[in-house]
Amino acid sequence: MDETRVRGLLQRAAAGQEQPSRVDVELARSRGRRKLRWRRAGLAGASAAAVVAVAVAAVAIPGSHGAAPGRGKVPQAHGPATAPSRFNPLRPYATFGWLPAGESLAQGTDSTNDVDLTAGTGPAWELKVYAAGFCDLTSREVLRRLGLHQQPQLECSKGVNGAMYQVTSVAAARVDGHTAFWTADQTYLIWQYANHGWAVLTSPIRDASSVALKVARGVRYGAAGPPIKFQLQSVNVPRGWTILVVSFWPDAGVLRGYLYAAAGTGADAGGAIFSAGPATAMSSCYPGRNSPRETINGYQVVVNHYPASNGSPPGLRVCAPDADGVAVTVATSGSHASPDAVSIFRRHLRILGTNPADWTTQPLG
Amino acid sequence: MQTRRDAEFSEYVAARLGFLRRVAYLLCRDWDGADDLVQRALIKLYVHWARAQAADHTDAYARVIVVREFLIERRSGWSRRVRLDAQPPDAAAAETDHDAALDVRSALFGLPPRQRATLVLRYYCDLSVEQSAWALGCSAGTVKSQTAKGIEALRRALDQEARHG
Repeated sequence: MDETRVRGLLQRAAAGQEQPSRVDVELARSRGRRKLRWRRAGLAGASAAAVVAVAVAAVAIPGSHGAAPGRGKVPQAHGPATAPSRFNPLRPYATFGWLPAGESLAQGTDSTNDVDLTAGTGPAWELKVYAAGFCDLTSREVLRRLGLHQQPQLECSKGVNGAMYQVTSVAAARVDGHTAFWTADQTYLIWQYANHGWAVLTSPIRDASSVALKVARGVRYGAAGPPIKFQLQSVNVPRGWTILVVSFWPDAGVLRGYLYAAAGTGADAGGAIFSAGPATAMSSCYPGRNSPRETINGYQVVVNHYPASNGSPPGLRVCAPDADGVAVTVATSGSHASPDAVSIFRRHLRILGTNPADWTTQPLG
Repeated sequence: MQTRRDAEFSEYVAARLGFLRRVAYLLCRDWDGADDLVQRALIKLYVHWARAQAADHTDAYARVIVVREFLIERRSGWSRRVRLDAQPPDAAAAETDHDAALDVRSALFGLPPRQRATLVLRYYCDLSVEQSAWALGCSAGTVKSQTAKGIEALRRALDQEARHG
């Protein structure tokens, strides 16, 4: 297959019938403006007001902990002796301690297996911290193979969220008391933050190895940051459901969990994905031929039915664009999901409104 | 009050939103996901608007943000960690598409995210190997190997579909 044919194929694949856009340009501008204000506050170190603002934010937002971004000494962070075998998805196990000026935590995803944090408003700093036992080599073994002029592959593939890193060199400084390594072109900085646990940092800046090392050495471990807060609480869900993964971002002075998945452990245990965000227009829920509007518990909702396709089971999603100021979706999959998204929305969901003081740290009530 | 940045940004988005959505659609495989991806990318583009305009090619800057956002999302592994789709593949679009396009899409969407992103950057966005490497945060060699693997996987998938079709 030649390149011209690939181009043609991609053009054809992109030429499908488009849905009406629900991209909101005004939302992009207003969120962008807010981020710019943050960046300017971080950069304007001379302004007393800005310093106070950053200090106050540092109480609540990982990534702003310790020294203000880009100034002062790197906190003397040390990894724990041994990495935990599971993380608590409701409280990030790792936080950025130092970031270049103007950068701060943008978003994160937390699961029992790993923590992903991204910082920065353009191309981002990305930190991934694995729980114990998810990667197959030790620092010592990586060093040994490098000494044999090999390029060892560190495979962090236990479970389904795997990755492989081909180590090519040793970094100039140790991190968390362990040797740190680079992949080709210094794309990834990799180190053991504790026995059996690895961390990986991706730098958005080329030729900035010393800055990457500084960011890596500032990372803090051990759920030192605040818990994530949620605008939804799922109540009376089947026994055995636990939170598997949470996505969050800093907002209104808290870590706001905007997406979470809960499920039981057995094949038929069921589960659901919940999301919450600022209220939006009904059109964002895409009412279509198979998407009737309904009223559930007094809220206008759209129920989307998704047929099975490409090996994926059928899905059901309830979308409420404005439930007490909160845009809510609940999604379940499988023909016999129990409870399904509609019954979860009807009977198993508390919507906690827009005031962070009313939000919960326990999304499974 | 609308600033100059707002006006220029809005003008650019009005002109190029369709293109950015199609890039995102090729990466995400459904329009819901594509719109979410573009929404996040536009926030970053707004923040970096001065830099984007100073770049040789604002489009190139914008699509790099889209691709990087996509890879960040995929690395966080939502859809692979949990066998539930908050935003399932778009059924309405699939119903109205023709077989050939469906075959291509199904083959393309079967590729691992990074291979798919590499092909989209190289052959839909027309980026060079070096530009793609920068966008993906990897070496030129990795782009070349991902491209070769992606094309081979695409060819195999289409052959297979042709045989079973």
